[in-house]
Amino acid sequence: MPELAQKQKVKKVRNPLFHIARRNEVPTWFVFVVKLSFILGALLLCGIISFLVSPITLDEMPEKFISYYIFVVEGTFFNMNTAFSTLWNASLLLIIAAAITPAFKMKFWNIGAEGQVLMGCFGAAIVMKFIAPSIPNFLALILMLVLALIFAAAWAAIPAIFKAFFNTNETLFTLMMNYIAIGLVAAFSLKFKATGSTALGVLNAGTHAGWMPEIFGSSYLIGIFVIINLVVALWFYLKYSKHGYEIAVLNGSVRTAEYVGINVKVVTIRTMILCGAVCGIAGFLLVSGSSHTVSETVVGGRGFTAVMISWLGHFNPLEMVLYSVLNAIITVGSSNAAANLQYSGEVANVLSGLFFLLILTSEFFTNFRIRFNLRQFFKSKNEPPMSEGQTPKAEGGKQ
Amino acid sequence: MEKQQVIELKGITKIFGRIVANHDCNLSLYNGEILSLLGENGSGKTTLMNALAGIYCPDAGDIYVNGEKVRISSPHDAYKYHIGMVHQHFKLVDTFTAVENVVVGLTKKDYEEIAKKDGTKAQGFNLKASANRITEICNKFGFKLNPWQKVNTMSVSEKQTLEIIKALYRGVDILILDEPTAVLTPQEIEKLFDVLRAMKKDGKSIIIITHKLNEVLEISDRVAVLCKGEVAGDILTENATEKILTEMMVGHKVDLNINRMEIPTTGERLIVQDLSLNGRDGRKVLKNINFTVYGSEILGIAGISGSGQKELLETIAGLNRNTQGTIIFHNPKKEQPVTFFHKNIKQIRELAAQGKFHLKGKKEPLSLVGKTNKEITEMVNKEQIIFYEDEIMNLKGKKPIEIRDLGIKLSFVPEDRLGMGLVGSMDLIDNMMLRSFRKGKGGIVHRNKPAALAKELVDELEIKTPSLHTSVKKLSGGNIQKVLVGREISTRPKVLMVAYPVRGLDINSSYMIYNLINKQKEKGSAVIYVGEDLDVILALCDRVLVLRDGEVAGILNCKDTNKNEIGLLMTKKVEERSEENA
Amino acid sequence: MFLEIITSSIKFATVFLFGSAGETVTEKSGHLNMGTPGIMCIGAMGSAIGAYIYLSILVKLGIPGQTNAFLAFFFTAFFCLLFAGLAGLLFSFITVTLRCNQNVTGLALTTFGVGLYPFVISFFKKEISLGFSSLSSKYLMHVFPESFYNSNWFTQLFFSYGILVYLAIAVAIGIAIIMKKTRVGLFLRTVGENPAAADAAGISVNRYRYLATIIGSAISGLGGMYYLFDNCSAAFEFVVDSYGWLAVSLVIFTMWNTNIGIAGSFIFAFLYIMPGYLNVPGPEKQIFALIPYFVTVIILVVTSIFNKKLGKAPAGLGQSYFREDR
Repeated sequence: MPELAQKQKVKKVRNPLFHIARRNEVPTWFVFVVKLSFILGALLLCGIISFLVSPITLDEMPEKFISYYIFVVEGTFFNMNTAFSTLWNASLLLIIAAAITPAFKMKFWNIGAEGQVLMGCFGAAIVMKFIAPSIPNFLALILMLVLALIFAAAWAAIPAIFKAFFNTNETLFTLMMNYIAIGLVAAFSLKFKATGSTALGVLNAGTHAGWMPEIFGSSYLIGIFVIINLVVALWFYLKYSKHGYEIAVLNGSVRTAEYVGINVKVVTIRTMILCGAVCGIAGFLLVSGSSHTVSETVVGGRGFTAVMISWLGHFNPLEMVLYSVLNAIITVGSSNAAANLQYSGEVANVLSGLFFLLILTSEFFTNFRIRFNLRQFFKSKNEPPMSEGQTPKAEGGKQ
Repeated sequence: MEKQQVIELKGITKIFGRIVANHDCNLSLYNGEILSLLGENGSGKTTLMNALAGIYCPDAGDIYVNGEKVRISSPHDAYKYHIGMVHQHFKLVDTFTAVENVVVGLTKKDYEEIAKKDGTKAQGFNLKASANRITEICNKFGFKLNPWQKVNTMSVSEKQTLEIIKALYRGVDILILDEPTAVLTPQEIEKLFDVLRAMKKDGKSIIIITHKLNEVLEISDRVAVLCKGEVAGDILTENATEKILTEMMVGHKVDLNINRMEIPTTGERLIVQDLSLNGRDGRKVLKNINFTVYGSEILGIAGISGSGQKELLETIAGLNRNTQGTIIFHNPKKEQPVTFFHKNIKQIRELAAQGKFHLKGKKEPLSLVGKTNKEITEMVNKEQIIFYEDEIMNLKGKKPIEIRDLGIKLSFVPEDRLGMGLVGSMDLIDNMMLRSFRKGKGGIVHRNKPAALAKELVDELEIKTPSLHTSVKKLSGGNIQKVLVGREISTRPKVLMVAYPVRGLDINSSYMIYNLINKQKEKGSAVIYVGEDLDVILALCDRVLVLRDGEVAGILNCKDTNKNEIGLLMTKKVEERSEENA
Repeated sequence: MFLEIITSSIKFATVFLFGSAGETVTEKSGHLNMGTPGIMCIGAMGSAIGAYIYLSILVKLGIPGQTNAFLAFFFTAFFCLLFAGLAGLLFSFITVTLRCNQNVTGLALTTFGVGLYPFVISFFKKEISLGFSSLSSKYLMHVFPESFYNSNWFTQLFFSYGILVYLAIAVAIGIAIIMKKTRVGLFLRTVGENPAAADAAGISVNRYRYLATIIGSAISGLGGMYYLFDNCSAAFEFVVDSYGWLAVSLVIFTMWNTNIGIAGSFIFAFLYIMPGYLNVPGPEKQIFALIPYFVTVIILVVTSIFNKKLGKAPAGLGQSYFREDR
């Protein structure tokens, strides 16, 4: 029996170069430093990519590398208008991310925010098209809000009801609901488009009926103000309310919730209706504040981006502010840089995707610790350790 | 046979975060011996063996196999040195058959090596040939296993057999078993020990991780004791006694006797009649269960795991719907005043109409007809309305929240601490209010009282935690259990149900839990204790109910019975059935 | 007309089939790759880059237009597999080695891929990319000569497709066989069902997850290539991403079995194509176009009502594995 092991061929192998272990307690300053360096790294990468893809030669523009950042700042915070528009983009992302957070916290993977917001837009647009011109503006806005709330909440409630009673897979259900919403909106805008045009077009362009009133010369301000309040309210709801506590218990486990007598069905449906309602508000603000119409692309993928923001913000609405602002800066700013540095504006999506991937990667460094064994690694070259076959790299990755 | 050192561990250290699981551990293993690795829960036995089996990478120290330094960085490496481990939580794929589970992970080279050892021609991936080889191994060592049976239809002991065969199939010479007896009946343990002796005869070395002294003395040749992550020493079994081993294990003398308090019972508390439960697949999980628990009594529930213990407790707690039968609860209200705590005026009026009350100091039934709500409120506040008899309620089909609303103080410590009893990601305070968060007005949670309770428990039960705001999952197993049991007891329950409360706890924590349970008994609660260690059940409980396959196999008085009798009750039918299958 | 609906359904089904077959391989290893739509875009991008390189080489060599069936296929498919595989590598690096959340990584990858495709296309020089459509129509849309497949309904039904259609069916059947019958399939299923068990049995969980994700992504990427070069005759403006989502959901309906996937993708494609052949005005057509999504939802609900558990999802799906976790 001992001979068997000895028969094995002895191969030289290094000790692993590094070793990964889970961190137990992570100090806040460390998380802060890691996140900050990754954010800076992501911004640097954006600059490098812009530098590489721009066809402008260094002779024509010696400050080519820096100019990306200049154009980003110019595109986002150059004047009040661009600044408001950037903030508007950021706050729309923020409110959608905050809206889906209660659902995510109870492990209901709602990736249907896109459709829920779109249904909110749809509801608001219906009022705008048919009723708003004939009633006072504030009444029109209220009606738009109400219909947006109902539409979006219903859109969120349907998958929730099936999830609660039949445990239907909510991820796919909400995903399909997105496309159904898109189809409904497409049919609506085709049906009521002006003859000769291909889409619905801006509604009530002359009368501004159902348009959000302007304050300090910007139609975004009211919306931004509402959103900030809503986000704080959601944060409070999750942290201090009994409902929020129930959601936190469900986040632990369904069994625990049943054990303490929480009605899981009720909480699931109620939370999703809340999610839908907030998405509806987002849709209403989007239509009344900026788009003034509805089309298939009016939400523009914000529902999906919001999922990432919600997750990266650790389901804390206040933390999401950072990522939504950064993402808005990168997308809006990069489009401006792309126009000036002569490459395709599609770069915005690419950079936004890269940004999220990098921030996501930073989670690894806050959750795990890499311990390097440099001394053992180099020492063991000359020793005769026994392990066979595997390369040090593969082993290192596994530990 | 001359003794040869096959394994030597030198200075093994493993650190998880800030916890040192193993510190500078030295251990050797000789061929053809059974070594017991003894230690309390949490003393680092499993971690040390996981380092040998390639699950954990030690932070320092070396492993020598047959005198040569090796590095075992994965289970595959371990198999190369003919080391195999049967983990406490079996590593099997439920949806696969036995033979599929055995051949998973075998590469072409492995097949060749196995064939070389057997002296046969190398087989590639061939389930039929593998099944034949499994049958051969079974015959050689005296196992029984159908290679084509799916794992999800197997009993625990069959799964364990499969794990051992998996290791033997790979030709291991050193087999590590982690707490192999924890889930087995006395009879099954005997069978397992027979197999181990047969393997020893075959020249294999075996390490058994355990914390049970009697087994150590019965099966092993040598004992190594771990204490707080360090090897406290090793000793030949022939020189060892329970007393010596305990002292080595704990570092000081411990009184190993659980005191059963002999106090008179205080009347029926919970009567379960003809209780049946249909499982998800339509099969009956509980069949016509009948029993009564009295106040000031501990009723133990024994049975091989999965016999319906969990379902029984969950049904009483109101977590299952699909039930037949009755669960009668006697609320000890006799000669007690009614309060507004759980009865509103409407309910009081109804009960009075049924003649349930008398006025303080008078014997005749009290009538509330014609009295205004204000008058009744005043009477209740002055504690003038008195119950004639205990309140009798049927709990069957009631949800946990309805049971609570009825004013029934029923506490339940489930076996799955973090998956059911507590929320791991929440801190101590939030966990305290799991059962009571609805209290208080408005939609906002009130955290003052739970915070006070948490502080009280931490002081009283010596819960070791950095602060009240630490997530519960970061605490050690013993402290987590104290949090859970402490919370459940803090409501002063009339019926307390505990499932496997000392699983994974060290000796001191275990005894603290036993004491808490005894105190509840003293206070008049009816306690239902589900446990796996028959010694503990016999020492702690007044009566023991044996569950077998969802049925009551018998209710015995703990003073007049022994382990063997309980063990026989636990298995009789199962054995009959498995013979039918074979 | 009926024949035409069937053949175009089969053509369109290939997009779904590649996408879902690739995702099935990935999911069998316990990885849920929500980046599939992005990866299909990256696959389409890769094939376009391949075609661009091939045509550029021909221009450099001074023989523009002298294309060759084998090289045309090789360049497009090779670069498609390369880029889609790289995207899979990125996904597995982040989720396996760095152990980040799979859902979020997938969504980020989708954002990235959907942006990258038009971005890269924007760098192509017009004169060269004009040659794409001839590559497509000459070599990729039909394997057999027109005189053969147009002869009768039978040949039209079975032989009028591009090479990728046949490849997709072969790949789907191949995957089903590998999963069921071979050692590698058994190991892969173990990794997906119970990574801890696989690890204890000596299987390198990480290596299997890497390989399954990369190979699965490469297969999904072919769906993007097929969509661009066969289904859309190399018209860039059509983006494949929304079909990617349908491919992801198809995996669940087909219960992680690529043989069922062949039928499933045909049904999906049929429902998708149908409204185009109906004689209704635009808005109503939009409503009819919702049928596949409605059907998806109905199947979801019905299966959940009767099964309680949807098919046979690998038990470890969506969870990252770290051996030292206790």
